[in-house]
Amino acid sequence: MRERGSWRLALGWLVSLAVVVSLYMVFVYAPTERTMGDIQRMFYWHVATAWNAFLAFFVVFVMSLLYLFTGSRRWDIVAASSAEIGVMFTTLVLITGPLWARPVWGIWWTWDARLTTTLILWFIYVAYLVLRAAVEGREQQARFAAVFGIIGFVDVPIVYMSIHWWRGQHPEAVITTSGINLSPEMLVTLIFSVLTFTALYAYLLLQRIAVERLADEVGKLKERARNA
Amino acid sequence: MDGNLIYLFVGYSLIWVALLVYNQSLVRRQLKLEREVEALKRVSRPQ
Repeated sequence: MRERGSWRLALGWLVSLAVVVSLYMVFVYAPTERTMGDIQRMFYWHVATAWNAFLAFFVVFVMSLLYLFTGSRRWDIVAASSAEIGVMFTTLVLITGPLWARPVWGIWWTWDARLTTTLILWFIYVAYLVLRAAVEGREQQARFAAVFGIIGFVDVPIVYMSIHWWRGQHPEAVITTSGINLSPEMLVTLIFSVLTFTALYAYLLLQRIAVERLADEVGKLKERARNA
Repeated sequence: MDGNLIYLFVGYSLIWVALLVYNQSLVRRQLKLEREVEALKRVSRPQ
């Protein structure tokens, strides 16, 4: 347990350092974009937080499937932990998006397909967390949550494809199969930010799993004390 | 640097604060549960 904790601590320090380097790259290394100016720098962490939200919900999806197949509590713990982190990152996407849109589009929000589907995604996983808290009985809670986690994931590819399927105000993807619409410095900054946030997600997930395991242990000890 | 810097500053600050607060809440929850585990183990230990 202690060894696991020291690994988490080391990862935490590594992530903190990477976050500082990422900030340096975003504000100093990356050049200023010609049309939007400095506000375009919002792009790097906005994309990184969106990536983390997708990753977190993908983990919920996979862990929910594993739980339904095996019935093992360990997959349910990872799914619950990842959903909470995913909701946090989706909230940050929904906050940084309008902060970028206001100076560029002149409005905070528009019912564009990408924005709307992202908001729906946020509601789906908030509902997932509410459902977990509302259902009584660990097994029933895990089963309901797993089914919800699998169905809810359907919205993730819809969010991703929304800019291709519907015409809207949200910009197209900058990295596509036909090429990369970024300068080399911008691309390096984006990749570094995404990698940093992926490590950050891993760190937060380990922390959150540790909380859930401890809560389980407390539950077992209380049960044992009651039966003694 | 242009006049839209306030939006940029608010955006990055919010991400920082949210991550710090969330991480702190996880650490606090862990410490509280660890103390609870210790207390329950002490109580259930045979005298």
